[in-house]
Amino acid sequence: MHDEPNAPGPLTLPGEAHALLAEAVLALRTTADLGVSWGVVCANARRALRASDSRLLRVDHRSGALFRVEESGVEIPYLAEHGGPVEWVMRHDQPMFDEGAAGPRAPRETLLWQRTPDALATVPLVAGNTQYGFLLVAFEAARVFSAPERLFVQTLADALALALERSGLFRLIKEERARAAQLERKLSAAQESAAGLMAIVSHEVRSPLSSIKAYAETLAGNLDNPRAPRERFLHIIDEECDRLAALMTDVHDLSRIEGGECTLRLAGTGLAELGREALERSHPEAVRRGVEVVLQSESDVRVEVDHELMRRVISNLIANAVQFSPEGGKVLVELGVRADEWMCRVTDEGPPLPAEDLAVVLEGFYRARRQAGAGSIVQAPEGTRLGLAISRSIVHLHGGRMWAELPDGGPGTPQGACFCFAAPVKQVASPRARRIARQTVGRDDLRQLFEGIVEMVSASLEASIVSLVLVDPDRGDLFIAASVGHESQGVQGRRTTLRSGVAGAVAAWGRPVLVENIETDRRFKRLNHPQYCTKSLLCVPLRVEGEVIGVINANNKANGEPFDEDDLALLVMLTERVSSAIERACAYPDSHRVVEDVIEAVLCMTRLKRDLSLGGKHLVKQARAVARELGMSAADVDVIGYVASIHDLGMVRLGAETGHPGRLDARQRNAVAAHPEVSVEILRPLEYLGVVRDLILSHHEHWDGTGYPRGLQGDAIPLGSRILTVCDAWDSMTSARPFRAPRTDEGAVAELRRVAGGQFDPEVVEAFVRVLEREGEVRAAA
Amino acid sequence: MAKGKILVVDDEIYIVHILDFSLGMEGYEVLTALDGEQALEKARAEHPDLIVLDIMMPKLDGYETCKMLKADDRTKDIPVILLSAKGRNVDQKVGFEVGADDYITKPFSPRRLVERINAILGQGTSQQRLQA
Repeated sequence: MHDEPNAPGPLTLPGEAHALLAEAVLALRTTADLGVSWGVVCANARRALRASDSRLLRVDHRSGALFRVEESGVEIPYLAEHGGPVEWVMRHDQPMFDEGAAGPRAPRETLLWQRTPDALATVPLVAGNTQYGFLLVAFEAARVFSAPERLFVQTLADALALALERSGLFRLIKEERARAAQLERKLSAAQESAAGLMAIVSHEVRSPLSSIKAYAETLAGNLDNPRAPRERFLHIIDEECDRLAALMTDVHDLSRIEGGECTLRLAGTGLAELGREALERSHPEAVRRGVEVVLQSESDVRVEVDHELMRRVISNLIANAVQFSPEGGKVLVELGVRADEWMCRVTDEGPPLPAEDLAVVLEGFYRARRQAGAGSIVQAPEGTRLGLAISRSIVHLHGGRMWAELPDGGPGTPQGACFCFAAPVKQVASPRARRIARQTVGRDDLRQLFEGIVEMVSASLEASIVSLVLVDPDRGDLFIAASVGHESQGVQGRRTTLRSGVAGAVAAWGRPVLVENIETDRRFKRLNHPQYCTKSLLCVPLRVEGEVIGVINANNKANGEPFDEDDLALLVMLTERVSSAIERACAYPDSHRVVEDVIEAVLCMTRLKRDLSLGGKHLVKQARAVARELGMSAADVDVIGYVASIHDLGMVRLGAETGHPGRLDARQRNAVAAHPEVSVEILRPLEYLGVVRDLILSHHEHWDGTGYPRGLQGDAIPLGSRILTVCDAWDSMTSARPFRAPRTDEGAVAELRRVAGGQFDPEVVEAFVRVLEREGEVRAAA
Repeated sequence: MAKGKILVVDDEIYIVHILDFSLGMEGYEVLTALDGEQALEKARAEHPDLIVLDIMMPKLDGYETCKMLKADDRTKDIPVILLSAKGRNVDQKVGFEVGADDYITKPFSPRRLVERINAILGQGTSQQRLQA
């Protein structure tokens, strides 16, 4: 049946066929959008060859997955039939013309057609050395393919291959352009801020430089002048040099902090101690200016900060306040805790801060509009104007914020200013978690894994929105690393303030959370962001090497029902898989192979889950209920629920051959018998618990030892597997299959009881029936 | 006997000090101010022979101060030398638009500033006078 060249048939195609071919090729050549051209190609191929149908399969080269391209251009994942023509063509890289000699039961990608065709042409779409996909042309009756017909199909396939190649390149160019545009934006922002900094710095440098030059020149011209205070001149030159040096240090620090090179060394520190130390540092200057600095520390709370940097922030604020204070003035430093934040407020009695400047006072360096303290005529300018900018950057690094406000008091007496900042008392991420996060966040290949993970979770839980939120290694707050379902809301990269969202709370608690309805949930009611329209949600902490490095969020089930405990248990299990996948990827920082394997495993689960809706929710619920009925521990119940949700993945390789093992012929039986091993094979890279592996491997063993693949008997079969076997059989009997109608519940129960002791563990069957009866009662009561 | 009265205006106290010294050595009487408002007050009250005015200052900057000096009949004839860290052409242009008589950029040479002041006031340096 494969490519036999000298088949009889017409030697030329009718003229109409040529016109149709030309039109199809033109459509492919002139549009980059397959959604437009594929429709034309499809219709013309059918007309020219009098075919019943045609299909285009595209190979996605990133994942290796097959997609069926609809006439609309929409793509649907497709799995090639085991031993079918696509598999053969893929392997041999040459066309296959199945003329129907093998009869109607030959494999012809049954799932692609309304009615399985009797003859089928399957042609690889090859451009260069790459298979871009497959063109399938189906016929209702057995037929012979003439040489011109083969040439016709081949020509179409070549044109399609070029079109696919081109659309792939187009996509690549688009992606590259988007990336370039993004880089450009980043660059211009960086340049802008660098230019701003340069302008400020060059201005700031001129003041001390002017002094140095003026004094040096004057000194040189007055070396012999007894009236010139030469020592004072030298002293001023020295002082101004120090000022220049300090300025350079600040510029360096600021660019390091803003450039993300600065790492926080977090440690628990007493708030009062921090204040005292900052005060000591600015004490000499305050004394020199005759300003009194008063520290009010509300309570001695321990806060998690980088001690050195935070002390610098507070002393910068004090220095700023002292500088603007009149002689004999007072600077008040208040430290306190409000909810999850600690606050610092520095109030001075200097000249009033114009109200319109409150918002901009912290931008770059602001000082010009505030008049220097009265009586400062005998004092030197002190400190540099970069101080506030640096302080603000340090506070941001701690996940906090900084602002300026007017002091309390009567509106009629605007005097002085307050500089304040607030930062979280406890950073979500421990230094160790940040270190781990640092290893993971920057890696491109892991980003792909994160995207795969949210897809998988979304497919497994049937959740409409899923996001993976990770700890930012520098700032210690959380950001959305990957998400599905709410791209349109532009949340990618959005930051969650520490402890202020559900994600923040879960990361801080380190415990999974189930919210059935956020509008009525006491814990999180006020945390819901109206923009997300969230009703029900799951949030599970993601641990790597024991540290919480983020959370996985699932919002709203696709079917509108609230999430329940079973969903939460499944997400916990999936999250553990994700953790071990990330751990595994991190253990081999240089091996892209390992990461690719993990990504592939995750993508595979998603595809299979989507395509064949395996491990139906009902099955998971029943399996968990039976496990509980049999008195298994909560942990075991979770494992069984998880296995129930994924254990049949191997079946998908079997294509349309699924059915009851007992009624298949020898070849089919072998294929089915291999499927538990295939399941394990698919999930192997996720390296999950041995017990899961064991359960999957054993769920087709029979109580009496006649099952597969190992022929285990009785108690040698894990209890979890025995439960799965019964649930599976029930699922299979009560749902429609290609070869038979579904059984009634009563009929299925009778069948289960009939083979109890043979295929099934009798105890499990009885437990299952009790669960069913209870479900029935629930249904009756509802 | 002083050669004349000069008002030095700058918020950088060290600059005020060094100009006070240099001009004092040259035989001028020196008045000082730390911002534009003070400068206007002193200019009106003391009527100096020349004003050295910094541009970047709190409250009232050098441009504004210069404009107001030139708009006031009592002070409009007093020559003004602008002094600033800004050195670009556009700043000089603005400087002359507001009526300044000369413009010197920081960092500057006090000796050169004295020479300009002498030139504007039609005075020789102390050395020239000694020789005369």
